[in-house]
Amino acid sequence: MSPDALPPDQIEFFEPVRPDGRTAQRAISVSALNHATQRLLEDRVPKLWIRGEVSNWNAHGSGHRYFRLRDDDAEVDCVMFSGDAWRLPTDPEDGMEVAVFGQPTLFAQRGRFQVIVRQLEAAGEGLWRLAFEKLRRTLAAEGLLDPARKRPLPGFPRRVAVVTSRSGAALRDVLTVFRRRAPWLDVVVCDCRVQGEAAALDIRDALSRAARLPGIDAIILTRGGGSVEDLWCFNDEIAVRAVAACPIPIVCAIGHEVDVTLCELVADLRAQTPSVAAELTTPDRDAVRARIAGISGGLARGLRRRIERGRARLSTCERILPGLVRARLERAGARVATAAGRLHALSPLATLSRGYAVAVDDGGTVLSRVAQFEPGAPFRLRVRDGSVRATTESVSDDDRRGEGGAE
Amino acid sequence: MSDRDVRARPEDEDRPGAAELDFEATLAELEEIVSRLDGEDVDLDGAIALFRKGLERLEAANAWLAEAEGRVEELIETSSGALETRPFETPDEEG
Repeated sequence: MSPDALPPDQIEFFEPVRPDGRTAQRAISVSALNHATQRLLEDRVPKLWIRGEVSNWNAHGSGHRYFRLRDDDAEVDCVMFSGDAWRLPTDPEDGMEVAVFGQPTLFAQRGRFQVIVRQLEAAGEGLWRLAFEKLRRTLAAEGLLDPARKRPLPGFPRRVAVVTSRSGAALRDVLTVFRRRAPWLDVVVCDCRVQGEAAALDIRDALSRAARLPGIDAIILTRGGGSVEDLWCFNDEIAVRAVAACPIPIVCAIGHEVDVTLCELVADLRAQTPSVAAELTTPDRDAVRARIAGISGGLARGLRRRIERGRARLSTCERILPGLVRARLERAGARVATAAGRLHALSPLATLSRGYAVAVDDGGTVLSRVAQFEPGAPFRLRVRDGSVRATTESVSDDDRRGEGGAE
Repeated sequence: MSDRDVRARPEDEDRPGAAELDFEATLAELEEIVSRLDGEDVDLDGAIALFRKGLERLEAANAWLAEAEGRVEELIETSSGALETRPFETPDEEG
């Protein structure tokens, strides 16, 4: 406050004075005027809601927002300081119908009438909708909402991280479901704030911690119901991108069934409630038991079928074997008869029976040439019904036929 | 039971019975056994051996299912940035 400022009770602000030289002695400074007016306004006019159309919206680098609010006949300067403006889901567009809650006052330095806005709401959920749609379009353009990006959850997770407030009802619900359905499951709670200014950063950091932990099969990001504003951090670009970039399959359940946040849209799976998220993440113990029972039945059936197949083959063998053996024996008998016939035709015995004799030496070698006969050497003559011992007297070629012979 | 059916995790060393069954792999193996048993290329001795192995795995899976109890832990980041887990204690209700 400038040194010219006077406490308001010392200014006879509303005392009518005549504009003459005497009263001019009591003139006050501009600063005193403005500060007194500011004080007067702030004392007498409460914070209130004002509706109008936004124009000249200016988001300053400091985080403060400057704009004008107007209707057909009037307009007023407005400022929203960064400490309040962070809560805006997005900047409104010029021409948007809004209601602001704030303190009408005088900006003393400039003598300018303005409203210090603490809160700004677009008609309905206009601003939330607008912010949601803006970011949703960006994400869609980047392909982050593509169903093909969705990874399947592991069929049988052993270790699951739950990213949520450690004291929230959502965590309680999730743990209850896990205990009932999958008591074998290891659960790691990753605490984070789930509403307020720093929540989006908190969510991002908790997700990254959970992903760094070894052996995590799936992550659940969740919180219970709340106002649109409470849930807003799950539409914050920082949190949404952290979910989209999560290296581990992630299920997201924020608020009630009707609440849809962008975190849920980029997650691998969206669940309506925290409990449902837990159910979708783990198989049910009873279902696992049923699967085991199915396997057990399959084993027994498999072995029984295998044995029955063996038995069927055996009885087939029993049935056809006698026939096969008989046929085999008959074939063999026929072959023996044929062979015997041929053997008989070829046998020298048949020739001997017609009066021929065969000369053989003692070793049984057939002597068919004169060169094999040594004069004086013994040999044998095979005839039809036995053999005759003989000695070579002399040998002669064919031209000297009659000169030699066997005795 | 062969070694590959058992998976020990380093952080389980403080628990009794540190060796843990890879339950899902066991179920998958069992289902494989059932489907081989149904196939044509297994002789009777092979089928009986498969059946025996299946029974053994079933028993292990059932025992695991009846006894396995998971832990609930909380992830803490230390001031040095290292991650630690410690048993989760349910906080007072906040509604």
